[in-house]
Amino acid sequence: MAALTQQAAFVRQAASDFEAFHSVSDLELPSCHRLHFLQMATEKLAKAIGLESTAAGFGRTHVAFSKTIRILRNTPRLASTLDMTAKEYSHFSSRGFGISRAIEELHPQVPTAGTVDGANVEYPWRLGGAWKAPCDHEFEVAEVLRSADGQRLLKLIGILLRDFDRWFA
Amino acid sequence: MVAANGAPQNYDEAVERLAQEHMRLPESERPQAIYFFPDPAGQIVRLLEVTSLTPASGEVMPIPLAPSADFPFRSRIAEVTPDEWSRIESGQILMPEGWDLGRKKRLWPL
Repeated sequence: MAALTQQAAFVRQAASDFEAFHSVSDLELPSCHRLHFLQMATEKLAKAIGLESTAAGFGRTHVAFSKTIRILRNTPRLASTLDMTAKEYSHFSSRGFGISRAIEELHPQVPTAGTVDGANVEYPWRLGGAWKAPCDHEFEVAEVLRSADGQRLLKLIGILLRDFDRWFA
Repeated sequence: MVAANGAPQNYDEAVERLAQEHMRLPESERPQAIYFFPDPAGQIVRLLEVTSLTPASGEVMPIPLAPSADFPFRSRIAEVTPDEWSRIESGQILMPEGWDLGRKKRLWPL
């Protein structure tokens, strides 16, 4: 294999995480496992995007994915790529931003907004007087990802990873 | 001059086009301010939007977009919160390399 740039290596690993997300989704495992792969894929995708702008990439990559989705709402050419009209894409991208925030909030270091305090896909958290393990938690975003908007967001992530150089330069 | 496919033909047109697209959003989503940071080489269109709708990150994260047939210029779009913009102006948050605060132009509000 040819030597990779740092950015290409991040894209490659993000794509591999995303593939793992799909593979694990086919298994009868708690949702935290597949969501963990998805959160990692989107974080590395955002890191790769940041490396295009700055040598160090973005420092706070835990919110960089949702910022990317917000800014892409003004990219009409993505609409046709997703087989949507410009109006459909505009409506989707607003909701896609909300889903992308929910994916970021799966990370243990990102404060949750409106969900269970401390809930994350990696480490147990304290809930009242007891502890809870991620594998026992029902993550709302797991259900949201099955919706039409969730499926569109997953399709968008796949397109951005597959054609990274076409979209980001 | 505008190409048959509506693509901007020069850097100034590209800046205007991109800013217009971002100002065309519904009022509830429209940024409080849009600043343009000129590229001396006239190659990259750099816009920074101030909006309370974006997640705070404590840094400027420009999203780099590649040129396309209908927009044949590279672009960098960043969003910051109003509080972050205040911190940028006071020097507490640094702009990325090439984004010269002294040369910025406010495009919105006019």
